[in-house]
Amino acid sequence: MVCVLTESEKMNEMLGILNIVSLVAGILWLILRRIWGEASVKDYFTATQTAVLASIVFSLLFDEYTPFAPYVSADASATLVYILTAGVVYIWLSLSQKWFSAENLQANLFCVLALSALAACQIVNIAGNLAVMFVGIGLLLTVNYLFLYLSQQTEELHNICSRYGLSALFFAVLACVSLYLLTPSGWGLKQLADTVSSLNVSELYMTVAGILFIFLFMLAIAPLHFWFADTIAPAVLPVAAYFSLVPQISLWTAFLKINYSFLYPVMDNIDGVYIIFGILSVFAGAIGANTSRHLRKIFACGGIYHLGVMLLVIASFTDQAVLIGLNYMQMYILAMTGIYVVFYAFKSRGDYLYNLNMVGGFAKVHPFVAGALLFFTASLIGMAPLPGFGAMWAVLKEFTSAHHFALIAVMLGGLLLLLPAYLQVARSVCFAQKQENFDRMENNIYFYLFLLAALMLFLTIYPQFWDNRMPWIILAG
Amino acid sequence: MFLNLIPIIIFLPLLGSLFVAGSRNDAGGYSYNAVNVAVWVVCCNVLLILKLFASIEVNLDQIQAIVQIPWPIAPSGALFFGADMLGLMIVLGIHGALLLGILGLKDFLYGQRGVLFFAMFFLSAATGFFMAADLFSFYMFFVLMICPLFAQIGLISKGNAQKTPSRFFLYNFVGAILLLVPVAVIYTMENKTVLIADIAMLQMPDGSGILIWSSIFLAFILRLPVWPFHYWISSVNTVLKNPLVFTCVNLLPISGLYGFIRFWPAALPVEISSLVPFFETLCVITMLYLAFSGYSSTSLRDKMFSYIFIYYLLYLLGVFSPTDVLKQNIAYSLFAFMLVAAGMIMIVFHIDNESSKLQNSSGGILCLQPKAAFSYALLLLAGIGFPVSALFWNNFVIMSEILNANVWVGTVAVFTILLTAIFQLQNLYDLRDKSCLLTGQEKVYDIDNLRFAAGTIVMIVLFLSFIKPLWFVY
Repeated sequence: MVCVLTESEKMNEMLGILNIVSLVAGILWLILRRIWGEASVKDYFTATQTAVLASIVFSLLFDEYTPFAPYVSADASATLVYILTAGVVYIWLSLSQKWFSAENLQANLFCVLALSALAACQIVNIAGNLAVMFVGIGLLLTVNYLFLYLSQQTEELHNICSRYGLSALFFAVLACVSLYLLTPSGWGLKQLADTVSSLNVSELYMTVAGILFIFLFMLAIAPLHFWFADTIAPAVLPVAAYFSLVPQISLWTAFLKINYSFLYPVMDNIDGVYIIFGILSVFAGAIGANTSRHLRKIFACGGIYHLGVMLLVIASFTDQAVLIGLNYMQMYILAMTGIYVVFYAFKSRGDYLYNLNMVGGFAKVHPFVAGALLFFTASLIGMAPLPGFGAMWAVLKEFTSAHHFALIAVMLGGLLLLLPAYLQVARSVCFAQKQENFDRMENNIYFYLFLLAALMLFLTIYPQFWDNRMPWIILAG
Repeated sequence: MFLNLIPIIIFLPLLGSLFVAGSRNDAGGYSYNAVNVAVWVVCCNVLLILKLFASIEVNLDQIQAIVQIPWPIAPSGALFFGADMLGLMIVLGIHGALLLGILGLKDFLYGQRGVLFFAMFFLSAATGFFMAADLFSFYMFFVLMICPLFAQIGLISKGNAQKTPSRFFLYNFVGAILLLVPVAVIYTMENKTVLIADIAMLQMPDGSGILIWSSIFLAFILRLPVWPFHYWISSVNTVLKNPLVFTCVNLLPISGLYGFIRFWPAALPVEISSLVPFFETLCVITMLYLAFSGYSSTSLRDKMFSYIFIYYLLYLLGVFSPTDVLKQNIAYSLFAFMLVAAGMIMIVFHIDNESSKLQNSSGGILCLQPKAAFSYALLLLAGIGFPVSALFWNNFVIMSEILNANVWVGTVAVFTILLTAIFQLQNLYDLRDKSCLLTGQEKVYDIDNLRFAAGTIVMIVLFLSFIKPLWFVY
């Protein structure tokens, strides 16, 4: 049955894009402000945070409206993902403001990029059409590149920025080729399942590779992770925080969406790839984390490990696996946000500390913040009864019920390899001799740490929060 | 009424830890307030445990007074806790041992608030573990116990020993993971809460039983000082220069022992019973090695370390023996042993601390410390099996059962216990040998009245338990 909307209904549906409009309005304000004359860092950040808040409110109010259907197909999961992403962006902006007040970098450009990234994430979230999704991804790639460009203060970063740009371009071209191959049947996610099933083997591999590799590259899944840890270590703290926190959950949800919307008919062809890439990520992340004393790099490599675990979970292509994948991702993002909040607290005489040697004895000065770091780190390793355990337990149950005992061995073996790196962080922060005179703690650090811990606890208690909010799962049957 | 006591007993030390954290240091950074808070918390909990003891049927061989605590997080809707004579005896023993450990801190009171905070945390986790009635609670507290110990070891590790806490955590986390996998498999199979008492009745799929039980077996054995799984214990004990941390860490192997007691009798033997003689051999080899190293060592702490672990291995051999009747004897003996060992640790650390003032060695130091000498001698005699405590009767029964099951293993076990008694007596002789003392020594302090009183009370408790093991149950 074809549903025809009246003019007034069409107007109402347009309310669904108010969240993006508010972000665009924020971007315009920032640009105009820049043209008319410099404002203070505080002004830029206040305007940006206001735009983000407005965007969150509009998402909550108008989450049922879907403009431009079928190109856009907003659903409850997209709203949840967006609110989580926007919440993380709000915290990130709030903490970055202090950083920009101390450093001589372009706050205006940073704020424009932050809002653009959020808008791109929302486009990726709500896309009901592969081309629209790729537009969002293209925008996200551009923003990522510009963030690196903004951050380039050293020769090393300049090279990394160039390498990232070239790699991104390569994978974007591959994605465009895939899109081209799918052109005759249209790019709607719902129609693509039939199209993919009807492709011959060479076309299928070409198409699926193009679509998947852009995601795997952006999510930094091994062996396409080469750019991630190297980018995060030398980048300035706000940019490193962006790469670790902001695009991940939207990209992951979109990745799940394409897998369960139209790639499930060919799952027998790609589950092996996911398992191999997942195992590679688990070990590359775990080993990489142990080779560094750079705090951000340790956790970036830890992130590769966790993404590897998530990839292993979804390789089974069951409905339960999607829920577990999303639950795991949200726990990971919240825990990582908590860890980055602590990184923003590692400050001595106005300088942000980034090396294990520098943060020795931090717990003696700020025991609660150090305790929070331990809480989030222990959650990441799935220690019972902390919030992360629920996600880890769900993964274990999924593997055991499918009799994938080898994957359990990979996951837990990787965790044991990763653990020394996290223990090294705990040891330096809590037990080492004090190396620096740490700055006084700002109240918002405590507030955000408490908020994130409470949120993790809530989502652990109600893991079924995602149930029935993902209509696209049904497509997988 | 008794139903509500269990959660209170578990969480009271955790609450106490918050008060310890909030207590102010005295002028000069001494943690007298924290010590007082900790002592009061432990004493209150001991009273509650005695009350709970009075409420259960001590002769009944099953977990009673099962209480459910709502648990909103995976994998189940509730955590189950309960108590039986075995669990409560161990919990009571741990409380007593920790109390003695806290009193032992008197010589080390500078900046000990963190150590006391985590000791209370450990007490809560240990109590939860020994009262867990379902598999998930059991696992959760099994893991939780290592966190406060990691922090305690980290707080007292200095210089080259800074990697010790990481090694300790990593090694014990391997054990936790080895337990997690079977727990997940069992929950997936059953799809409901699994009580520990029901584990024996679980039907394992063909082929997976051996893997599940081997994993559980390894998880427990990693907590015990059996060669070649003893690495963490030997590496950690060399850096423990704090009596409370030493006591806490040396209580951890009881969790492995307790795991075997709960799982072994009915559930394990079918799958891996053929491996038992092999592990018994490993146990007695380790016992022999420990006995000889204790004999040859000159350090008081090393001798204590050897003594404690030889007895743990004796209990493990008792658990391995093919009979269920030893459970009660192990409970009585373990209770007495914990008090004896903690009392000795309290005095040994004092002697060690004071002997650092002497120019030559600690030989003869007890001649200058009459109160410490009295307490130490009595505890040591009780500890090596003189008929003054529950250790005597119950160890006699345990050893006779081991001999009954396997003459060779039993003979070596008896030999190591004799060797342990010899090196402990030799140690006592050295400490009391007046001829080793040099004149003009710097003033050596005796233990204070509080610790002397604690040592005497422990002896009275042990003597009463010799006459009637459960004399405190009213």
